[in-house]
Amino acid sequence: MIATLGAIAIWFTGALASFVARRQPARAALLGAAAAVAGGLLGGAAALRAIASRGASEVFSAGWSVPYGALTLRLDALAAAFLLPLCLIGALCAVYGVGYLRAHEDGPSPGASFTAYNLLLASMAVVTLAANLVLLLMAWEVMTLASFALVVSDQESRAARGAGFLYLVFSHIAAGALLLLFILLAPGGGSWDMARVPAHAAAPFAWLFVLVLIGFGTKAAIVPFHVWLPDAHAAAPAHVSALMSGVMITIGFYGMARFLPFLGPPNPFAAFVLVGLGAVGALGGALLALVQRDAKRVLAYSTVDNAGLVTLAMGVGVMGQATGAPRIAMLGWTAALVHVWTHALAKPLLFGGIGAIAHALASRDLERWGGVLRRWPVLGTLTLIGGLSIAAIPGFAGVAGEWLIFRALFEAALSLSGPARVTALLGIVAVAMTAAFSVACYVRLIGIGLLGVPRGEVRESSRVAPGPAVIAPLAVIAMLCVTAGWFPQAIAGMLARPVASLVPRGDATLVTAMLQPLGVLGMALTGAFALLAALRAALVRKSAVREAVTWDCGYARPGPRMQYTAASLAEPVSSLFAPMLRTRIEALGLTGLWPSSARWRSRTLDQTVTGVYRPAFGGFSSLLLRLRDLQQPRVTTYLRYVVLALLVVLALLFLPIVVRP
Amino acid sequence: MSGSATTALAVVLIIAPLLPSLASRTVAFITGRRGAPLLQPYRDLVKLLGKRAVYSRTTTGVFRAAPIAVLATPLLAAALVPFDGHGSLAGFAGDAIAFAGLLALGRMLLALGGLDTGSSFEGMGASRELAFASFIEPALFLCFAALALTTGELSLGRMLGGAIDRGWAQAPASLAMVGVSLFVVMLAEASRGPVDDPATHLELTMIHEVTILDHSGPDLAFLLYGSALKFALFAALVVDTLMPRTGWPTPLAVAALIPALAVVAVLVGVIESTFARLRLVQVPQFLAGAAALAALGVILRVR
Repeated sequence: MIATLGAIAIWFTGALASFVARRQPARAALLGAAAAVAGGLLGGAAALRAIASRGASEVFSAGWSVPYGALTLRLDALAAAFLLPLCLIGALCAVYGVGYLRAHEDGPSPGASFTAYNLLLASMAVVTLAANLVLLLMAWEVMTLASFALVVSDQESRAARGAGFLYLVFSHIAAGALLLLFILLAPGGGSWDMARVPAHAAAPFAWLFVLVLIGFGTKAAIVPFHVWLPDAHAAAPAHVSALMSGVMITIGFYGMARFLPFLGPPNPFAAFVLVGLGAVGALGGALLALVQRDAKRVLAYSTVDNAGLVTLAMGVGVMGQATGAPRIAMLGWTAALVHVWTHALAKPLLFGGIGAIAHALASRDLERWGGVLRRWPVLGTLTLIGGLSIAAIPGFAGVAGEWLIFRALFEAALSLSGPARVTALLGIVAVAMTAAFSVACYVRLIGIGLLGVPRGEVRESSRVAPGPAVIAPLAVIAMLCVTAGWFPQAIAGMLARPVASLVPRGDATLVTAMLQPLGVLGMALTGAFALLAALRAALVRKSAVREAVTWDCGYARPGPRMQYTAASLAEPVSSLFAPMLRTRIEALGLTGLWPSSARWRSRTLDQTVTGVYRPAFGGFSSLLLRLRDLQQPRVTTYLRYVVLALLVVLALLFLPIVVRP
Repeated sequence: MSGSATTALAVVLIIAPLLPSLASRTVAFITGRRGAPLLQPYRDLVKLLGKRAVYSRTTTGVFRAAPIAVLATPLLAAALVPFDGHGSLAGFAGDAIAFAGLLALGRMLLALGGLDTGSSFEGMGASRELAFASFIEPALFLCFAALALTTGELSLGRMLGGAIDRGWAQAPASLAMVGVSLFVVMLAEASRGPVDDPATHLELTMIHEVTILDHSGPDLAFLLYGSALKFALFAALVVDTLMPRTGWPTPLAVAALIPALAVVAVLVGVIESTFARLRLVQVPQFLAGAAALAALGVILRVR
């Protein structure tokens, strides 16, 4: 426990140090990043030990003068499963952040940025460790505020402020739900320790479940509570998007994994809701990711897609628990946690790579990208590895989680019956379509964004290639992605104890054995690739290779603007799924005999925003606006209010006397 | 089991280029032409392997990796398919999911290689390939789900090799639907009509051919052989589903595969020459029909 407390202390010290040194940006960044790395190493070591050891969980407890509060921290296997990626990615993103902020001289101040960054790390760690409801809520709030500060830090632009406001509103709706949830769960009297939460909650299951969904699901980007995410992730600096998308999302899932058992015995209703929301999130996120033009929004919607997959897997886990099938429960929960981990690797890699490219090209617009892999081969290759990982390609990290999700669904379809079986079969279809969309999405991001020839103007002088501080952390993550593709069983092995704490009756070694052949397949794929590459090299002698212009069916002078665009690549899918996407197309067609100009513009908005939230918030605010009529500029009106109020009070006072017979 | 599986795999690896050739020959016969000799694909492959390669100046390693991926993925996937009707060379529970993942890798790199050239034709091919995949994938998984439900197994080798007999005894209707659905998936995956037109020279109508326009020499040989092998894989899945050979002696089961694959190829040729290629907007409906058929097969088992 000392190591974990030390890590939290280091992060707090780092936040303070960056703040104090904020007038010297270079020093502030170095101090902040050093603290993030040192804390990450210390905390990561503690988390690794907690995952590996068979012993009881470590507890630290101290008194706290806050009502119902206590400074109780507990490091058990489940907490460690979420603390480990937080420490690892937190440290790597901090190193990346130093390089990123140095390159952005007009960007956020490193001092302020690293203060918030270290606070965010510390608060997320406390959330995973807190064993007291009040402490958890406090840390949750610090986490929200620190990440809000990071979201709005990048630019003084309207977009960032708008994104920050949206994020703040949704976070606070979620925090309200959590507060209500904790009050309903709270044990009577004394400190609100998790260990003392009564086995039978005072409120009906459905209410508590909805509160968990809103409270934790908002952070976890579960549809329909995801709407803050695309804006916030697009507006934040790259290393912050990486940390938020890779790690902060998972804190929401931690909350769900931790609190679902408190609500009562596993409930099939909850399972169906989770699978349903997960399927909608996965499909909708993947489809919307496919049509985004802003490269960072592609990644943001892909996060919604992956969060949906995790939710679906959790739903399968709960379904297994509710129907008394420990094997299905085991598979579902392991799939969820494995997917959380592999996503925590691949997504920061992608955000890091795409962020660096966006900086180098001075644009986030995919239609202006291209030719990146040729110009910056290392950065391009790292991004490509991220894309292959997240598209669940065998031999890379992402395949483990997705394979397990499929496996869990297939086994549920085989061994469960009734609605559970039908749900599992529908889940198979949803995940299969999601996988196809996600492959298409990353082909588009990489094929349009990184390959071909540059589509926009490339200013040679103004932008520099990314430095080692940017490349090195990404290379580490990319290596982990490839290793995880070869040894997926190692991930499942490490997560065996956290899963066992959720599904006590399951056999954790089962999943490890299941994943072994998948790793062999990944290695065989790498081997086959190397062999065929050697064969090709032997067949094609260097002297015999000729370089020429792209053939293009005989056209000798292809130009950058003749390439396929991101919009045209996605067009077949977006028109096939038009009922879901409702892409708006404004076309100014060719008119007259000698047409000179034409315009075509397509725009796809998130249906949850345009269809649900905008009308709802609009209606709410117009309702509130009506209260304004009470405000009048004249004193007499207020005197009238006072008299009215007095009369009402008098009436209330005298009513009992008059009414009494 | 392993010996006959190896033999069957070797047979398939050798005869794979014959399948597209036989289908094209059938089309030629029906349309009253003589057509290319059956062994022409082998000559093409040998010729291409000895030729020089020309690379576009815009391309990167991704373009060079695409042919390797398109060949490596069906090669590995072939180890999972029970060609001898008894069992596969390698396999594990849930390898059907990995089978789909391998094909996704081939598709992903093929599309990326196309986009790497910066040619709008190849972008067009990639775009169509990806759009249709979003219908092929659910259809394929529904077929696997129906097979899993009828046989109670999760690996291709056991589903189609060991337990398929039991499936036919219990749910013949489901398996017949799966067979037809797999046949349609095969048409799409092998880029045959009425989904794609392998014979056309009009770039605007093609899918697969247009994506590989820029590849040459050994790279093109890899691509051609890889796609022929993918055709053979799916044809073998169809044969295994509709003509279970678990009860047969293994030499006979291996030997029977060759005429069975030939029948599938001829059938593809007949379909190609009797149906016009579908308009591109209708292809998804065709594939969704296959998915619906597989779904019906699943529903019959769930009840």
